[in-house]
Amino acid sequence: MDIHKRYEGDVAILQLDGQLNLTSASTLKEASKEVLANDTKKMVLNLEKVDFINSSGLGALVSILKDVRNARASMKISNLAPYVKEIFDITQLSNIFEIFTDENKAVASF
Amino acid sequence: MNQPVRIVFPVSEISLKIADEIFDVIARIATSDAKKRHHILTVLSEAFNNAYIHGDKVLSDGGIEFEAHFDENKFYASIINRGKGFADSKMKGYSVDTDIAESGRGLKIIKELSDRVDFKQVDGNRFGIFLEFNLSSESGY
Repeated sequence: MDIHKRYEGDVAILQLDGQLNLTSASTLKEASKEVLANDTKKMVLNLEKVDFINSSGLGALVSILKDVRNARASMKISNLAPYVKEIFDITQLSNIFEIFTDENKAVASF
Repeated sequence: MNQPVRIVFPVSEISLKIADEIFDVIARIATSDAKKRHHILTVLSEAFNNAYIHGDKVLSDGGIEFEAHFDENKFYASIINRGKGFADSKMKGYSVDTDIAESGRGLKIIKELSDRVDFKQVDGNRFGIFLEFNLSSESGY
């Protein structure tokens, strides 16, 4: 998985590209830890280019959410492809994460 | 693919990536329907992940066995490994309503996205997930 990081104001945006599974989970968790270590309090994960996600990938996202809460920060998720949204809905993580249809709306929501 | 395809993967992390590549090809052969194809890929990947994570890596000298075949409008697959598998995992007590546990969602995904799933003990000390997909129902995203 490739992770492209950029900032819009005080919001860190991580654009994920590839498969979010057991082998890429640690890469994503490390990237988010780096963001939080920089005292960033607002983070958006853009999943537009995630073409596959499984329970290990979901586990990574939940782990990141816990880290974000512990850091008294806030995290949003945006741009879920239909097959990724389906997995979120099945596992009811749609009710746990703040999910937006596009990145701009996610950034504006902070 | 009327004759069964059987692949034995070594129990190593590289097998996760190789298996996903193979499952993607098999799902594309199985159906042209994007949604069903994604369901097959996701379920096979999830089941293989489980065999890798929960299987006994010391005793898994036989590797993780994958078998698949088509029969009319159905696709059948199984993944077998030594170890506890889903039935004894934490998933039994998983509550999707309230939990933000980092694991335990695989079984829910498999049950929702396959048309039938059975868990069986095989040859005493091996555990298998047996999956069935109905290919006649076109769904689409």
